Amino acid sequence: MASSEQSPAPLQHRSLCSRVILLARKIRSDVASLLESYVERQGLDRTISLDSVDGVPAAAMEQGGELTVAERLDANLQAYRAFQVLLGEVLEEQRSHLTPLDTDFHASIQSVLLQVVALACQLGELLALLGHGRPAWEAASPEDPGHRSLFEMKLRGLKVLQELAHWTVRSVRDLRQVAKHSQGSGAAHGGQAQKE
Amino acid sequence: FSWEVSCLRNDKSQPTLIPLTPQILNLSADFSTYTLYLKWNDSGSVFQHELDASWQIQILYKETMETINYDSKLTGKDSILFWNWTSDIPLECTSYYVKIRCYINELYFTGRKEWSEWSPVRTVPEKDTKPNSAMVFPQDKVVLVGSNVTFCCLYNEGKSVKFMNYGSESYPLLRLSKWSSAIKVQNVNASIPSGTNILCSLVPDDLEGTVLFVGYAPDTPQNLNCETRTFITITCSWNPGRPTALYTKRQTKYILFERISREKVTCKVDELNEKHHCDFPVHANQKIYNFTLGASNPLGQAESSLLIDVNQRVHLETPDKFTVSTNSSTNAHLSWYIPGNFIKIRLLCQIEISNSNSERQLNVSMAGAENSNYRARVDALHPYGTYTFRVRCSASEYFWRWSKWSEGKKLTTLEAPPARGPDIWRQRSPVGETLTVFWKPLLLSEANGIILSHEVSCYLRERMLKAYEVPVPLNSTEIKLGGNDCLISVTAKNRAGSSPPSKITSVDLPSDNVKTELAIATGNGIYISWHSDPNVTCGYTLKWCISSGSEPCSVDWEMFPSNAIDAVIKSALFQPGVRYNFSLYGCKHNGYQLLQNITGYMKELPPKVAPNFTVEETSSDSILVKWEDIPVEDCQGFLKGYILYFAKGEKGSSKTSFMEEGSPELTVKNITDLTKKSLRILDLQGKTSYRLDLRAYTVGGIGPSKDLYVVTKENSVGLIIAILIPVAVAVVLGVVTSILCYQKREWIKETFYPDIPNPENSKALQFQKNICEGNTALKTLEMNPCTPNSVEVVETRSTVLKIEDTEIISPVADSELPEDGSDPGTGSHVVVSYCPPIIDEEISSPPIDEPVGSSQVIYIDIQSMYQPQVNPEEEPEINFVTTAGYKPQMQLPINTMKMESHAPTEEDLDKTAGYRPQANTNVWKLDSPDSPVSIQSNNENGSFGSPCSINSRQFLIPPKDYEDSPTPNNTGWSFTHFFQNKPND
Repeated sequence: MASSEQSPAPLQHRSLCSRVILLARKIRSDVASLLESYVERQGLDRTISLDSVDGVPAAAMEQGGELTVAERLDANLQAYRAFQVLLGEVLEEQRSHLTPLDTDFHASIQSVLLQVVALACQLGELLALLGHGRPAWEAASPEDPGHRSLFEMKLRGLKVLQELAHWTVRSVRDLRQVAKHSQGSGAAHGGQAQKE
Repeated sequence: FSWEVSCLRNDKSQPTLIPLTPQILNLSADFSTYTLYLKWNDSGSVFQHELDASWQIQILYKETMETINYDSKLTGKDSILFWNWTSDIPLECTSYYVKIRCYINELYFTGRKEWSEWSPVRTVPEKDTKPNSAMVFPQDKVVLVGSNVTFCCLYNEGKSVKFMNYGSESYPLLRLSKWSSAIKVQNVNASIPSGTNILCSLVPDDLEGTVLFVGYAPDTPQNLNCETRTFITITCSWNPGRPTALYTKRQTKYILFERISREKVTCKVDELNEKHHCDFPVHANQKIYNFTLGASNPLGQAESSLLIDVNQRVHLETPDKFTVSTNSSTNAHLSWYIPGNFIKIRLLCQIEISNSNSERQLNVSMAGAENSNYRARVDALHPYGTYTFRVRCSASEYFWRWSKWSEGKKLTTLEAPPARGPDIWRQRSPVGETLTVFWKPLLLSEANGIILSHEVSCYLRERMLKAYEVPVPLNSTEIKLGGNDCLISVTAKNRAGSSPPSKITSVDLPSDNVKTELAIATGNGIYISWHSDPNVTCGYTLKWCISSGSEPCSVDWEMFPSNAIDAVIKSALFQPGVRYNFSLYGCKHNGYQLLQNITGYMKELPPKVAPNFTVEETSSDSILVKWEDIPVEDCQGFLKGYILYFAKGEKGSSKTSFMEEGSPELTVKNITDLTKKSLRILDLQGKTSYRLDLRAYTVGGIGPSKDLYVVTKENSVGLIIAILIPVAVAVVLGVVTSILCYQKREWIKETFYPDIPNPENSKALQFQKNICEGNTALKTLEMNPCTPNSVEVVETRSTVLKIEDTEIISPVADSELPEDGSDPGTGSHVVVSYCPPIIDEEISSPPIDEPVGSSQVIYIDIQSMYQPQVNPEEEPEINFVTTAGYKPQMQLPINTMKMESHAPTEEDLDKTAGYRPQANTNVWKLDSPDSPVSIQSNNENGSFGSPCSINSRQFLIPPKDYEDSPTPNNTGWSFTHFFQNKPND
């Protein structure tokens, strides 16, 4: 009985981590196919340089080895919240300016957007489960696309999808680390920030 | 300060007119259209009168300069002049510098006239000079398909353009300035919905771009149609025509403008919908509407117009809330709702009434109302009928279009009593005690509801004796008459009531001499005719009974008026090929009388089976065939006759029918006399197999066949004659031959068996000897020096008989006896004696290359069997192996050659061991100088049994010893040569 009382938190961590990993993989798969249709519909090349596009969270970790579990999860959460906004913008730009009649394409973006929202929710849950509490939603108001040229919209959309794909890879890696950590710490409160 | 003062300068010799330097009031640019707008004051007030003025405007851009001349008139007062100029590249791409100068063409001025000074330079916004960030122009521009477009890329100092792409294609760069490069794209194609990308890749790494939308100006709206559905709005619809390939902000915008009310409506169209719609409000006091639909997009505009009278363009909405109800058996009430205000018009509504077997429309005109329910009543429906109703409406006065049909509603009217009494018939039992009453169920249209039962009553002088209530589905009942006839009455009953009664008397009148007639099949019915009977006053009844399987047959009947004399009876139960029996009754004032029986088919078919037939009797030239009747049920029609086919044929030789074979000897006999049951076939051949085929036929065709094979008996007289004649001929021939042979026996003996002369008694030899003494050249038979030599012929073959040249045949070899007593039975060991020829050198010396032909002695019997057959090339081995016996010299060189070429082993040589010439031919020639030499031998000198040299044609007469040889080597030859030798041989 004692063991059964102690085990639920790590089990929940692991279960939630698994679900987050599964969802991240699913998003990655969907984004991969979405990218194909995106470049085709925008007349772009996947090898195009997107360095000039800013405002999209980059998945590359400069100090990845030094982040705590909470920092990792928080970075993921913030990124997906940002993608939630960015994808919404991309969808609206496509509907209003670029591909107004392509409803199937819009549905694909919408589908990825909903999955990103779900992933952000799960990450928030995981953070709460680990005792960090959900970080406040810093709802960055979407940028006014009025000043943006159509070409910038196209590049920005491509960058959003590419970085989202990268983020899903990073999330899978991060969530594995989190799962490993929660397994190692056993019944200890996962909420304690630990340097990895 | 005036123009004149300032412009006139007194030069040394003559005055010069130099206008004052003009000033540019304003220079503005429209970047979307690449146009510069210039504004300046002509300062015309300087001059008191009208003057021609010329202006020169210089535009410097792209490190080049363009000068444009512009003429105007000075009117004596200041005027603001405007001028615009459109660039071929986006204005953002480079700086534009503009200056202007003036020239006054004063005709009365005799001095020198010069241009003014250039005005100060004005510059358009300098977008290319030190831009904040790289940019590509034009931004998000829309152009027509086929346009030529120049794109420029502006970049910061220190950067350079790596490439510029239009779509995926790279274009050569045109340098505009040190911060600007451009590409020129000719004849652009329609772009994808998101536009065509133009990329500018910079060094160091940077990328800028823009999007170009290429499409078409809007097409003229097609099939513009305006109509009202509610009298609240007028809905105009149209087809947009050719797609523009432009979407969202760039898509075609439509404005519906009504000229009379001068009201316009911006139409919101769904690009996904092929047909576009736009609503315009109906004005209270306006009937006529003059619409113009304008279509515009960034590339152009088009319009389409339509004038309508709204009262004539009413297309009502689909009737809604449609209900049907009834409270009677023959009518229904309908109600429906149409949205809209139709107070000013009348409506025409069409009600469709349909049931399972009919459909009709009913038009109803009614006054229009506002958002109201409309009602209608439908009469003349059938009781207990199930109908489906639906309704549609239009304007009554000016028909334009029907609305869509409302949904269908089903209704069943109430029941009513059956419209009539059922058809009835009755049938007395054979004894007459009971009467079975039959009735036919009423049709649905006559029953007016669900028939629950039938009431059968028996009346005697209008007094009901008995009554029976027979529930459905029974359609007959039995009444016991008890010796009394009565009037039968039958009524059908449903929930609404009873039908009128149907009546029939039970009285059967006696009938005499009732005949049975044949009916005619019509294919879908049975045609029956009868003779009119004047005593029949209340019609005829034709009754029949159709049996199906084991159930008792169901009685059916049909009634006809008294004047009818024929009828075609049709029934769904009639089947082709089935015989039906009918009884015709006449209705007389005192009862029914059977008048006639009729048999018939609905459709006659060929007989189902072949007639069963047998051969009763057979002779050498006739066959008697007998057959049996086909059962009625197998006839499938009235039998018309039989067809007998017969022809020669063996059993099992052919399974195909006569028709298929098309036998030339086929005989056909058509037997139309149905009473005839046998047939004798005459004029047949004896001991011959015949195939018989008998078929029955009806009007429907010929039935299947049945085959029989019969062999006729032998004709004995003919056989005897056939034997006796050849025997008699043979005997006569034998007798005649014998007589002839007897009479000619001497001649036969001389011809075939002449006496053999004794050579010792021949004087010819003496004669020859004398000749030989006198002439040494003729040494034909020089007997004395001739020393007989012996040649042992090891093997001879019967093929000697194949030799055809009878002149060189020598039978002697075959008749020789073996010298050494070896087995004579083999016939392969013969000793031949000969005299080696003495060959005169002058005559017989042959060329060296023909040693064999000149010197050898050929034993014709033996050689001749080898010479034609020798083919060393074809059968070399056979020659080596099988020619173990005698080898003639003539063959030697050949064999020698073979032996050399094949290099046979010693064993091979042993196998070929046999006769070998004792010496070579040259030796023979030298060693036999004494041999008789025959230069001119003659066949007259020939002698049987002597081998002969071909060269000399001299017979080599065997020694005396051999003549008496008791055993001829080959006895068979003599008969053969008997026929081959000529009589003079």
